[in-house]
Parts: sequence; C-alpha cells; structure tokens
Amino acid sequence: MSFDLYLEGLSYFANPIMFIASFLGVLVGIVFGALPGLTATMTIAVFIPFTFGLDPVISFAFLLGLYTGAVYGGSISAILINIPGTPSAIATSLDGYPLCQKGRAGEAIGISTVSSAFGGFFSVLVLCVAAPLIANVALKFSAEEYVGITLIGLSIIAVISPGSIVKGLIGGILGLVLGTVGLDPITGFPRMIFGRAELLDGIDSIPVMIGVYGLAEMFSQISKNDFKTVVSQKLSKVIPSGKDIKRLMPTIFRSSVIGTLIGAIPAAGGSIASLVAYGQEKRFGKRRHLLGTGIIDGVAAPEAANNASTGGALIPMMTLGIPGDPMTAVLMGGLIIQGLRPGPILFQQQMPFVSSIFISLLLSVVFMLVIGLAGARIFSRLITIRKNYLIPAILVFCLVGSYAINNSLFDVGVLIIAGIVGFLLKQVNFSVAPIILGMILGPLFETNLRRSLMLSGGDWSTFVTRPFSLAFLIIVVLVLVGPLLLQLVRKQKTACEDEEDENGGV
Amino acid sequence: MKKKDLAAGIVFLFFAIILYANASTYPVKEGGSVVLSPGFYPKILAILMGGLSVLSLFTTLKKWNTEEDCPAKEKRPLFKTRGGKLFLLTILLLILYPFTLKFLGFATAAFLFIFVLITALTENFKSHIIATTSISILITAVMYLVFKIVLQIPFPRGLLI
Repeated sequence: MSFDLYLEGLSYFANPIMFIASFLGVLVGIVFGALPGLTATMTIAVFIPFTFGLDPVISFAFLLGLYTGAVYGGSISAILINIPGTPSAIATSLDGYPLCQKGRAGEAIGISTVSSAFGGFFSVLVLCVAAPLIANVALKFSAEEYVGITLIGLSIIAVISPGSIVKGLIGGILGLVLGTVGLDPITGFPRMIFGRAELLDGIDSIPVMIGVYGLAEMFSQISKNDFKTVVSQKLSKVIPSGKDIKRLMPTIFRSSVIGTLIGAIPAAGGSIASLVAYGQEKRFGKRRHLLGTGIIDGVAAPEAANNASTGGALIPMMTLGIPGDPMTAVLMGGLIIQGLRPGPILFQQQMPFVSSIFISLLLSVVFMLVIGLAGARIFSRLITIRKNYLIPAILVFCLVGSYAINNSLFDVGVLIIAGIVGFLLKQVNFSVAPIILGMILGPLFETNLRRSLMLSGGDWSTFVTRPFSLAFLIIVVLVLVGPLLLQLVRKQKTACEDEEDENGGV
Repeated sequence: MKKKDLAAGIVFLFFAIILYANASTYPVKEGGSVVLSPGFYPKILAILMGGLSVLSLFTTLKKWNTEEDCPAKEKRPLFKTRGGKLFLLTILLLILYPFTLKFLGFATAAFLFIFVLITALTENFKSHIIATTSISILITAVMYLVFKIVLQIPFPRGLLI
C-alpha cells in the first residue's frame, strides 16, 4: 500500500467544514467528558443521531473529535474532584487528585493534556501503519476466521467486564440474541418481531446504546439522590515546563506504546490501558516510590495510555469490524448507519474515507492540545454545574436523539426499555458492554457461522482444520480459561472491588 | 448480592427456555440442511444461555451458606428511598413524554419534562422556584433552537409549539 493512499482523504480537508466539525467535536467531547457521570461512550452514542444526516466524512471528523475530546476530558474531573468523568480516567485520579489537594491542579491538567496529545498522536501513527497491513491479511480471512475473531472479542469483553465471567458471557449471548431480531439473513424468515414492521430490519442499535449508556447512567445518578454542588479550584501553571516534559518523556512514550497495544486488543480499551500503564510506572518509573502521593508522573502515564488506546482501538474496528472498546463499538454503529461496513473491504473500496479518518483523528489530537491548554480554566468550572439541572437536560437530549434517527416514536420506546433494562442489569452487577458488542456483532457472526457450516455440509470440524481459525479458537479458550488458572495461583479481586469498578459502564 | 444473583439466574434461564421454545416454532425445510433453518442459530444461543444460567445458579447456590464476599451496607429497598421514588417518577415522565410531544409540540413537552424533573430533583424547591423556572425556560429555548431550528428535526405537530 503506497503512501499516496493516505493523501486521498486530504482533498476533503479543502472544505473548512471538516476543521469546524473536528474542532466542535473536540470541544463538545471535552465538555461532556469533564462532566462527572457523562461517559465518553454515552457522549458518542447521544450525538450519533445528529450526525448521520451529514456526509460520512464530516460526520466522522466530528465523532472522532468527540471520542478524543471525551477520553481526555474525563481526566479534568478525575483531577479536580476525584470522580473520573469517564471510566478510562480512573487511574488518573490516583495521583491527579492528591496533586489538586496540594493546590497543583493546573499543573496536573497541563501534564494530562500534553501526555494525552502525545499518546493520541503516537497511536494515530501506529494506526496509519498497522491498519492497512492488518487489512491486507484480513482479506484472506473467510467466514470461519470471522467466527473466531468475533468469539475472541466477546470472550475478552466477558472476562474484563465487572462482575463474573459467566455474567459477562450471558450478557454477550443476550446481545447476540437481540441481534437475531428481524429477518433471518439466510432465509428471510421474520424472527421475534412481535408483529411490528419496525423490527423487520432488526433492533436499531443506536437507541439501545443511548438507553444503556445514557438513560441508565442518569437513572443510577437519580436513584443515588446525590446532587451536591462542588467547588472549583483556581488553576495556575497550566502550560507545563519544557524541563518537566523532557523528564516525563520515557514515561509518556512507554505508556503510549502500552495504550496503543492494549487498545488494539479487541474489546479491551482505555480503562485497562491506563491501569496497566500506571502499574508499569509503579514498576519501572524513576519516581515510583512517590506514586500515589501526587506526582505528575502518575498523571502522565495513564493519560498518555488512555488517549493512545483511541487510535489502537480503531485498528481492529476498521480492519476486522471488531471494536477495540465500547466507544469504538458505538462509533461502529455510526458507520453502519451510514451504510459503511468496517472491515478489510473498506480499505479496498473506500480508501479516501479511511484516510480521512486517519487525518481527522490527527487533527482532533492537535485541537485537543490547543483547546485543552487554552480552555483548562473554563473546563474546570464545568464540575460546578448542578446535577439537578444537568440530568433533565441530558434526558431530553437522549429522547430527541433516539427520535431523530428515524423520526419515529417507536425508537423512543426502544430507548426507554433499554434504559430501564440497562439500569436493572447494573443493579445485579451485569455489565452492559458485552450486550452491546454482542448485538453489533450478532448479524455478522450468525451469517459467518451458518455460511461456514453450509459450505462444510454441517461439519463443525471446519473451524479447527483451518490454521487461522484454529489459532483464534485457541485464543478464545486461553482468554476464558486464563483467569481461572490465575485464580488458582493467586486470590482473585473480590466482588466488592468489581462492584465499585462498575462506574457507569466501561 | 446473592439473592439478586439467584433472581438474575432464574430470569435468564426462563428467558433461554422461552427463546428455545419460540425458535422451535420456526419452519424447517424438509430434507434441507438444519443450518438453513431460521431456528438453528437462536436454538444454539438458547442452549448456551440456558447452560450459563444453570452454571450461574449453581455457583450462587454453592456460596449460599457462606459469608457474603462483601457484606452490603444496611440498605433500604431502592423503591422506598427518595432516590428510588425519583427514579420511578423519571420513568413515568419518560413514558409520558412521547404523548405530550404528540399533543403539545416539542417545546412545551420539553419544558414540562424539564421543569417537573428539576422541581423533583431540587430539595427545598420553594426557595429555588425562580431559578428552576428560568433554567427550565433557558434549557428548553436552547433545545428548541438546536433541534427544531438548526437541525430541523420534524417533530410531530402539537397544539402548541
């Protein structure tokens, strides 16, 4: 694949709207990410309905801006009030909040911004190089391999989701079941449509996502009945010194590599990437003995990693059609709604669009750096917005968003049901991420599974006689059995910690 | 948590059985491969879900007589707390919203929704009545501007705006 292909998308950027879309995306993303309780996943889900009327290239410039901005924005409230605005900022609060208590919040936010930008930039470069190569390999995959890759995604998300693996797997299968609603892809027979014509094309994934990530989160906050106001701190020294950046470079670089790699694992994502990067800082960092007491190294590591995971997570999503994390699962929903099916074929047929995604992502990293440093003082005021005003506004946003997809009140019904079910599942410690992943991957998984079996005359051994397919199934077994083996070696994290981790869905 | 796990396990097992029974009613092509049948794949999912639910029930029951891993803090049932009641009110408002939207129009429905919910969520509401009303109007105005005027979403026409 020659370098010229990357330039094919450049022509789109002659249109200034691309820059405006990306700028607005980053700005809105930071605002939503910084507001505690509004996760990055929810932000993207809520905005998708308003973008699909646009040209896909413009719509994705905006959505990728949102993605980058929201992942970064989560660090602001993690630092200022010890509540991560988005789950991938959990590790940031470990040192960010103690820094804030010492009156050094400005410095922490500055370092977070620069590290995030570096992580994001690094991951875009990896994405640009790796994605076309992986897409080339993936072109050789047939139905059997896709069955294996889907199973890898579902098993990883089941294992890493809060709650037990069994619950994660049940969630994944529930998602696959939801994916069967509508016309059978092989025979065209209508399944589980309950006499509703709206369901013939299947359950629209966008209202379900807004429901489980948006509505359910608002329900959780309402039921906690905690609408206290917080006081913001004045920020100083937001622009980091060259000396600090130079000293932190090894940490930022190491965390960016970790973030990109973990992001690229199907279904892993920013939360894990940032926790692992923080863990590595604890092992290899020069000032590891001070971690947790409030040092900028402890902010740089997770922030570089969680933003590096954004580009990483797009690798499996774009090349294989398997999202790298729940946020890219939602982005994938946005692609599908535009009539674009992510996967290696996209690289063959829509290379200008693919390269515009690379450029948009790069642009959003630049905007994030500029807006983040320039607007830190304003964003820090966001945490003082009272929740009793914010929640009703977000709920109306969710209602209008789900209505706007097809201008149909039926989708509003789907949203409300999904919200209630999502909330109830959280109460029994079920994570919603596997359900969403299962639902998005369901139709493709079924088609590939049945196609493989039809070609083999119903012989299931077709999945173990092909080398790639066999390798993928071995990975699935290792992913599912691995934690059990680990359990034998050391005591597993207790269920209580798991419950605390469930902070609005990954 | 154990009681909740037990309930969830039973619900999913029940769901799996219904799913299997429903998939069994789908037509089967005589003489053709079973893979071609529309019920083939849902049946596999039902069996997997049933198996996992049984496994989940089994693990919960096995732990039944042991100490809870994390004894829950003394909690009142959700629906008896103020938060639980607010949750129920929110659901009611959400269910009513499509109807008010149809009959009264987008702006009025949005204002009513926002105003009632802010009132409910604000403790000591009386001292905040002016703030609540003006903020509800402000949010509604911004929503109207963005959704109806800028994005031109075709909402059902109601009696009012």
